Amino acid sequence: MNAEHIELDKLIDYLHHELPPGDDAAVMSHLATCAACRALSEEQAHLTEALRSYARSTERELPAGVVARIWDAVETQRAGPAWRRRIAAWLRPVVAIPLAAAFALLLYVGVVQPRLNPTGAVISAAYYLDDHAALTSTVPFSQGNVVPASLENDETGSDQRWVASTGASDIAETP
Amino acid sequence: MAAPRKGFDPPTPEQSAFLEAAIEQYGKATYNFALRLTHHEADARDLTQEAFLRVYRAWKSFVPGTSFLAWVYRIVSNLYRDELRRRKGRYLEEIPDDNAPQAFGGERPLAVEPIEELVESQFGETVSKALAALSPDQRQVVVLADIEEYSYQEIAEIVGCSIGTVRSRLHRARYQLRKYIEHFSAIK
Repeated sequence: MNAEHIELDKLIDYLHHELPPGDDAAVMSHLATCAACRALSEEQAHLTEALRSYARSTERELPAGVVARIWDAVETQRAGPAWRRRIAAWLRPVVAIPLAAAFALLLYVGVVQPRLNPTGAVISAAYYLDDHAALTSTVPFSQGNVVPASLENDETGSDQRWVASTGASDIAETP
Repeated sequence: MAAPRKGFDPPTPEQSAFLEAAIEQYGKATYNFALRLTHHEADARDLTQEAFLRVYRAWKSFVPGTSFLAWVYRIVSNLYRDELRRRKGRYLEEIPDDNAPQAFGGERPLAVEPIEELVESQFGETVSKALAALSPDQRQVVVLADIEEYSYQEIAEIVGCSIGTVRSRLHRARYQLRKYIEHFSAIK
């Protein structure tokens, strides 16, 4: 505090009842004897009163539209359950982009790639015939032609030619 | 004081009743507080709506026995600050945190007393202009201290700053107000 007058800052604190008790008492005593500081104090009090008067004169009711909007927003929140928010969370770019990339890759491998190269996975019929002949041969390890003659020339339709061609006549003659 | 948002919890009848009572009792005060902060009708409506939605979501974090209005004002203040930052407004004006005496500390009363005249003749428009001319955080402190009559400690909690900052903002704001009132009164 100035030896002669109260500083404005201190006076503001005094008017807001924010001074420690000792300072508060000192300011009060000073105001009782100093007309200049009392005038300053009254001016500050008038400023406060002007603000309160302004506030009272401009006070308004809460618009009904605001209340309606609050309840609308609450209803919207109610309508949006947790599962919907979780789905929305999955659609976030950080998750959705890798998922979309994986899906596109699967789509390419499973659908597009086979169509671009349709013969890649086809197995020749001769392979199955050879395999079948080898499995049904009575002499599996013989050196002859394992393809049944009947399939090479199906005019006779006889098994005898097959036996002869495979060199298995000895077996046929065995009692 | 701030609790995690409970937005994903299913609403309960108690939650709705809490919101209804809050709007009924404190809606008007909250709206007027927002209006004085923003000086803008649409912004005040938006602030009030968002503040009560937050009250609805975080209703369990309110501690019974404490000031509900101070809690709502704190929410409004935070929303207001966020909005100002989003808009890159004048809010970012720096104010020293200390409570050093300002250069205007020793000024004497004005020769003519425009403030006294104001009270007598209800120059609300001049006061409104003077308030609007303050920086947002100065205006916030003036509204809380001089209109809502909160203590420095309560204001510090609402605004989220130190008591020293509240004090220095209030001192500077009242000095500025006096100057602006003189200025706008002279224009009239």
